Amino acid sequence: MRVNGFRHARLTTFFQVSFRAAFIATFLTALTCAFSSAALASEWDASASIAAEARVYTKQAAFDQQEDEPQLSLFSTIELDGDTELGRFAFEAFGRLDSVDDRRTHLDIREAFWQQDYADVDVLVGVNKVFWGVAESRHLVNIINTVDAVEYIDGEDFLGQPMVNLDWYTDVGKVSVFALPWHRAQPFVGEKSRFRVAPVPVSNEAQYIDGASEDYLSLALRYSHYFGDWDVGASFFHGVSRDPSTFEVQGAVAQTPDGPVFVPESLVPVYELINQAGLDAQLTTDDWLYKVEAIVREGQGDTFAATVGGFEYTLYQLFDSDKDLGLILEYNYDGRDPDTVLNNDVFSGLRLAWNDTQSTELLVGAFVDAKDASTVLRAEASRRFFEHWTASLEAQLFANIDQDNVIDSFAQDDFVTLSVEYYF
Amino acid sequence: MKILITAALVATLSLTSMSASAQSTEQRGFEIAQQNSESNEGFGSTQVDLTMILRNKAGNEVARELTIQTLDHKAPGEGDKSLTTFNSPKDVEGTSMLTHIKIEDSDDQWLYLPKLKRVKRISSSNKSGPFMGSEFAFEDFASFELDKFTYKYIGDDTVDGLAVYVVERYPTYGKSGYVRQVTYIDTKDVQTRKVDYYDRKNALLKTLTLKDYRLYGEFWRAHTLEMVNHQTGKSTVMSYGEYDFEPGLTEGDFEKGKLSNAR
Repeated sequence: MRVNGFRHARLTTFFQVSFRAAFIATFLTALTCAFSSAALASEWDASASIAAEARVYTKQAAFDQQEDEPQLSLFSTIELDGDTELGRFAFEAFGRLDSVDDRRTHLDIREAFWQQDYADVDVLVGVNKVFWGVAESRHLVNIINTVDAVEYIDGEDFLGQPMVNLDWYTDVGKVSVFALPWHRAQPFVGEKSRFRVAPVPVSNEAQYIDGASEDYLSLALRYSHYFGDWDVGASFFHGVSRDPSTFEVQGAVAQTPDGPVFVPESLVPVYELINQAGLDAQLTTDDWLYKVEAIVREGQGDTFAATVGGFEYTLYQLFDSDKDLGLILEYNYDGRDPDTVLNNDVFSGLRLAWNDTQSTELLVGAFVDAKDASTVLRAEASRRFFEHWTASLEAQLFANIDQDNVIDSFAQDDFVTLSVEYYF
Repeated sequence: MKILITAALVATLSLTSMSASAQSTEQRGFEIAQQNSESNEGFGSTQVDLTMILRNKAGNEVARELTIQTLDHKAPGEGDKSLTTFNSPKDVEGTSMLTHIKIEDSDDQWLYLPKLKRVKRISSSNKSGPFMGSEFAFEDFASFELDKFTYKYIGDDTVDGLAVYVVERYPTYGKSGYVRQVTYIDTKDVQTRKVDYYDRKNALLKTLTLKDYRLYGEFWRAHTLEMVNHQTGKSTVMSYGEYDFEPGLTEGDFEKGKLSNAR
């Protein structure tokens, strides 16, 4: 058994090493082509933005090392996109400089790929972002990219994922195949930051167990299409989980008058191999959108299911004005142990769009735990000014948080953020 | 008796002629609209860049840049397909909207948000809402489909020295912001020169003037469209660049699945 296992591992490793080599070779060739083709018939488009952000926390921090001072930061996105004779080349980098947290000061290549269309098939090699799903309160079926969790806890920012992706267009829908040769471990905020998951800081190291490794070749398959008023998607993923299910506690034994005591020093995120099947559907009828996403995942302890579903109703031209008011209600269920965020939570939200030339918008949302009524409130207002600028004001409030709720470690992290962004 | 019969006959005759003329104004209106629609039949596909200038009551202006790709419907009873991409303002650059126009049903519409790379099916029932903060409603901006209206010929007139037919049209699709639209279609090339839009209270809301018509092969395209809102004093000018009638677009370029792979 052990020998077989070893042989299998060797074979897998061989396959992965050669896939990785091929990936690098293709990617470098593509990059070389990109630069050489810049001289050929091609069309390039560059854009960038830079932003300043100030965040003020209104409550005293929960953990010793966390800062009470305002958190200031600068962030920027640079994009380059080229249509050439040799295909399309795209590049996008995101970077942030943070006044409080070294880990939040980070740079990530969100996109760096070559893409070419061959009749009914699109081929993409490189780093990219992929989005699946329909729901607003949680992106449950979306699994290709790892959440960039140092950015924010809302799961709307993702790390670039290296991939080879084939999209096949048929009369009955789109079939996408993904080979994902590297795992991107989720980054966690440092010990001085707010939004820490535990009193003990999370280590920058990742631990891979049960056959998982950083260079394990993960695979994904997706089918998506629309039938009349229905938009549907089905997906399957095999590979290294994008989010750690557990943390290994590391620490040292300290001698106390009462005898030796284990003192935890850091948490190491643990990644394992998972299989996940996902379904998503949306029914669009006039002013109502009905949405549902569901997954079944095995590999992280007991096999479990999770779902998010609900509706979005829009009142167009509210009271004969140009404004639209959207109302969202979604229910989240997660069958993991009860210590999971969104295990049994109701999300209600509203979106007010002015539909003016400045694209003024207000979003307000609340997650309420159906069992203990722990509530997370969030509001976001944004507006364009002087054409090249946008300003946004965000506020987050944790109310009535139950001590046993996993969200309790964020309970002191109420904030108000003002950010101003300039687009080139 | 004879007099009575004559009176009855006259009454019958006038009724007949009245209904005949009522039928003919509707028929005439439809035929003019049909001629106008047929002049654009079989254009294949087009691509055009345009600048939209939004002007408020005080005269302050902001500009928006768009690219529109359009695919002509294949068979009668089908609608056109269009892909509108926003090139400015910069914070929404790359956002695009795909529309499959349906004659019988409500249109299929998807929005592509490049920041998240998310494709979102949206409701197309928002006909009368403003398009990008402009004076054009979504329904004004959609490509014209003959069977989405009923018609009535009103008479003849002149617009900018051109002889025109005046044809009223009444939206048959739900959620329109208009009770009627008065179109002015020139008698020579049968192109729309002006449209007056009447809101749900039958008050004059907006006037669209279409100018700078140019001929591409057998197809006419207006290059300056100005919409003036009489009730707010705001206006929007859409200034079109040169049309490309051979952009090499196919059905596949207007598929939902292609949106996330588009530039």
